[in-house]
Amino acid sequence: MATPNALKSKLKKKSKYFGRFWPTTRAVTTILFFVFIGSTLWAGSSCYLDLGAFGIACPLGAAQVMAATGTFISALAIGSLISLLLIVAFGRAFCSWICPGRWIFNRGPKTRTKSWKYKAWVQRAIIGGVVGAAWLCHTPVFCVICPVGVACRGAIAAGTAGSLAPTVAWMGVLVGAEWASGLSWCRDLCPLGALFTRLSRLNPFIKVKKNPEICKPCNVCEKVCIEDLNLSSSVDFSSCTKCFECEAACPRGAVEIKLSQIEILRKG
Amino acid sequence: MTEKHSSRFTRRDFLQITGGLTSAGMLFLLLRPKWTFNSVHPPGALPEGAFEATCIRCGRCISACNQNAISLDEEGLPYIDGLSGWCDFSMDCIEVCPSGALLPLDPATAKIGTAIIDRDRCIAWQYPACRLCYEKCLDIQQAIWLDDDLSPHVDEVLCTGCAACTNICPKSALVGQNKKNGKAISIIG
Repeated sequence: MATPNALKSKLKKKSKYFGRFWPTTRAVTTILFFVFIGSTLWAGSSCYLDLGAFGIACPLGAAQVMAATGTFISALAIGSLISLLLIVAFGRAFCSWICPGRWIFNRGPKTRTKSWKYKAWVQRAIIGGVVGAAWLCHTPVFCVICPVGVACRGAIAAGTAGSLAPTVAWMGVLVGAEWASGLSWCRDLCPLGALFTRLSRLNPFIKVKKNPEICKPCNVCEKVCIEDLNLSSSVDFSSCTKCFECEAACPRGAVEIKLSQIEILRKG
Repeated sequence: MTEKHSSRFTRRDFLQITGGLTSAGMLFLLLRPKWTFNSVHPPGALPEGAFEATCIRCGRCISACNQNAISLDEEGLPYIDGLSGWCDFSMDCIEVCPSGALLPLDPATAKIGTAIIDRDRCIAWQYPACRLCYEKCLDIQQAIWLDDDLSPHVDEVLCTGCAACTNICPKSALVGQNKKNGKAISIIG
């Protein structure tokens, strides 16, 4: 059996290795996604991914369009159902792995302030507000400014020699709104993030957990987490975007990534 | 993290003001009424209000179009103005539209708009010098004809609004504030 010191240095080495690994992997995934869209080899974007007979549709976009038109659109409804299942399966992983906003937002001077009180209700209000606005204005209003939608359209514009000015402008407006409000876009404002968080209450896979034998609460995990989650003290991890910054930052290597929370049988 | 209750103009204040002004400026530039070149919606588009409501702004039609005819406006809505390419009615855009903002239609009878000639700008209306739009349309719809002075006219019945004439017009493709720039023929809905 290894001595405590040997175990500690072994774990530290492990955490250093992964520390380099996660941000690069995430950045590469995001870049590849947008290069793929911009290449126009495949007609698609994050708003709708084609899988043949059906596809994966953005649930918020689908809800807005159906509210704006007052009609039921089966392709969008089926696509939304599939994406809702994916969100339950993977939680908010979209936010850290695909959305470019993860790299653009959360850099404002005041984003370390605490987020909303009664966060769940504010998120439900944001989602309802977006769908309600679409119904009122007869147009999917949020789809126009949605950061991942704007980025997809920018990638397509780049791939078809169109103008990138609307992309830059809308991103600037969103960053401006984030800074003016003093909040974090991803944590507090984004309606997509709000929807994903509400559904992630049911998420059973890919959870980060602290190893209580190794963890001596130093709160570094909270300092690096864009969602202000603390592996020692937080209870609700539905807003976790699976970025694994906590795993990379932990100096003792006390963070474990559990692929499944489903416990089948406990021996003894 | 201690709060600094200072009346000094801090870096934070500077960044906030700059950021606020920049985004306000960008919002203004984006949303102000601008002079735009005539354009039409892609084939199969729902009528005006329904199209804005149904389009999910996914951009798939732009990706699907082999002719690069469709472009996106600031709002994310697709349009064809002929500057980047012209519509060959291949129906690829209709096929990929997920929300039904573009509905299938018969390519033989499809019409997305009508060409209109700006006689002040058209070279052939000043001198008997240019026949590019007429010759381009000979291969497509034969909807442009030249009169005795060799000035072009559009037959509104035959024209399908494909924008091939706009694409080939040798006048500048740049659209500016004063109407001195821009093509001499465009498509209206």
